Order: sequence, then structure tokens, then C-alpha cells
Amino acid sequence: MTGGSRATLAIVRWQARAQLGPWVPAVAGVLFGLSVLPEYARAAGSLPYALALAAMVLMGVASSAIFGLRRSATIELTSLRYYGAPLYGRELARAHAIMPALRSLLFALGVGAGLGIAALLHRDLPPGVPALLVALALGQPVVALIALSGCLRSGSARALYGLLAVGAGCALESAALFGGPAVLAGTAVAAVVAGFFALRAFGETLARYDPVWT
Amino acid sequence: MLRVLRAVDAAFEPPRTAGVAPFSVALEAGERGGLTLPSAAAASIAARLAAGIVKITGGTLFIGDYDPRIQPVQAKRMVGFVPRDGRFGDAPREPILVPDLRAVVDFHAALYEVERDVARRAAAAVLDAFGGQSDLAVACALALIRPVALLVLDQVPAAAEEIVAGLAGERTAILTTRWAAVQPTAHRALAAAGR
Repeated sequence: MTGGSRATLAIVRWQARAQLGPWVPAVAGVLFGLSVLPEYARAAGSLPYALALAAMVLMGVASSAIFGLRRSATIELTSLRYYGAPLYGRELARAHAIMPALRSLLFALGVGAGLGIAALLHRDLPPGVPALLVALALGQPVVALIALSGCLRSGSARALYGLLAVGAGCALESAALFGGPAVLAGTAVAAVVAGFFALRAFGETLARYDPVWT
Repeated sequence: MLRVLRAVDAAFEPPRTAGVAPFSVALEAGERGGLTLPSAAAASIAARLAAGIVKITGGTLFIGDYDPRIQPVQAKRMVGFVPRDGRFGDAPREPILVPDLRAVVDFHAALYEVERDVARRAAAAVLDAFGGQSDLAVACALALIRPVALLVLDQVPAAAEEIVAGLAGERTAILTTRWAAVQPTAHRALAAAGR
């Protein structure tokens, strides 16, 4: 194992330690999957169902952005532990990105778990459940990755990154949800590209960042 | 003698916030020096400049032969850094719950590419010398889990500085930053100024 890989694993393990906040989106996801979506399942294709989907997308994306930009995330990202260590910005960026990206998937997992429980309870399920979960899984990590760069900024720039994260997440998830299979494939490519550039921008932000809090 | 730290009119003057006015300092292997600045904030930033953590905006600063702006990783490999009050983060307590000290030492060992057992032994020796596990003692232990050419101490109390100096290698240069409300003073082989 190279030094960079060992450091990456150590940072992931360190950041995986108990933090209660990110479980809230997972609970919200379970509620959507267990209660809201089955409620409108028989009216699939109707406006209320579309609104329920839109509310789910907005909930997932907003929670991901809010938790990505919370103060504890900023404190962790600006810790001198990382800036004193002999690591390049890109190595730090990769290591810092893993846990937020995984945590952002908790919402999609929550929705999946809720739908699974609903199926066990013999409730009606909406059509295209796999596509729905894939759509969520595509957008959520991109939101988390864009929010990371916002953590190292303040004021209007921070707000702008939050809006960018929400916008990108909503666009990706909506396109995947409401488009057909061809659009879903295209969205997958777009999500990978957006995630790559978000991670690259975060690496450059880290390399330029000066931790001058006192 | 091997020049470990060389700063000539090094400054950190960001556009919107207070920074550190130009200062010069030179330390060779085994030497000890100090920088006195007019505020605690300036002293902290000066320490981070000397450790290669914050990048200078004016003048020159070399750690060994490395310019931290161009070769940050190589420069940081030479440095051990003890933050003020042993605080690594901008909060009284870090957001991540850490179960025990061993986990913290192992984490730093991975960040600095040090064998885990070596790091644990080194940290235990420092903590023994301090006689406790205060935040400052832990930060000093983490800075000394590996041999370093330059040890930068950010406003570390004199008693703790002496303990660290006793534990660091003979060839380790030590720079301590302090602050005083009066005009900045120069210690060994340096002149300091800040705002």
C-alpha cells in the first residue's frame, strides 16, 4: 500500500466515526419510500405523483447540500491535521470526498429500504423503482462533491456553491427520473463528468486554501 | 551547517483580513529561535507560514531547500508542528468523536507515513515526559512521532517548550512563536514584525 493510499484509508476511517447528523436524510428517505411514494403509486403519471417525486428529489438534494455545508464539515476540512501532513491537494481531495459521497447515498438507501418495507407490507409500489433509485444514486454524490468546495468558502461564494450543488443535483435526478432509459444513460455519463470536475475543483481549492483561522 | 529554515521578508498579507507583516528568520540544524508578534493571531499565522501550512504572499521562505509554495509535500516532510493550545481545528472540540488516544496517534502515523508501532512508542515517551494527556501534550506527542528537521511551536508555554526540546533530536531546529502587545522583539538570529 502506498503512503497516499494509507493516508486516504486513514482519513476515511477517521471521518467514518460517529456523526449523528447524516442519518437524518436516511430517515427522511425511509419515510418517502414507506409512506409518500406508495400513497401515490396508483396515480403514477399524474400531477400529484410527479409532485411527490419532485418533493423527494428536492428533499434528498437539499439535505445533502445542507449536511455538506454544515459547520462541523467545515471545521473538519480546515483542520490543521490535514494541512500539516505531507499530502498533495488531490490526495486530500480524494480522501475527503469518499465519506461525504457515501453518506449522501444514505437518502437513496433510505428510500430503497422504505420501498422494500412497503413491498413486504403488500402496499402498492410506484412503477420503475430501480430507475428511481438509480436516479437518486446518480445525483446525490454530485451534490456532496460540489458542496465540499463550498465548505472552504464563506459568504456569497459559499451560498453560490450551495445553489450550484442543489441545481446540479435537481437537474441530474429530474432528468433521470422523468426521462426514459436513454436519458437515464445520458444522465449517468453527465453525473460521472460532473463528479469528476467537482472533485478536481475541490482538489485545486484545497491546494490553494490557507487555514488562517485563529 | 545545514540551513533548515530561511525566511527573508516573508509576509502574509491577504486582501481582506489581517495578516503578518514581513519578517525574516534563519535557523540551522539544532538551533532554537523565536518570533514575537503583536497579536496571538499573527503569531499563529507566522507559525503556520514557517511550517509550510500557510503560503506566503510576499518575500521568500524555504524549509530546507524547499519552497512550500512549489514543493509543499517535501517541505512538510521536514516539519513537526504544534498548534496553539494543541488545537488542530477551529472549535473547542473536533466534530468527530475519537474513542481513544491510540486512534489519534495511529491516524497521524498514517498521514505522515510512520510505522504505527514506532509512532505509538514515540508518542508514549512524550506523554510520559508531560505526565498527562492534555491537548497540548497530545499535540506535542503527535509532532514528535517521527524525527523532524524543524519543529514549529505556536505559542507553546516555556515549560512545554523545554520538554519538547529535550525530546527532539539534537539536530532538530526549533522555532517558537509568541505574541506581545509591545513592539516586536527579535530573538536568536532573527527579526520579526507583524500587525
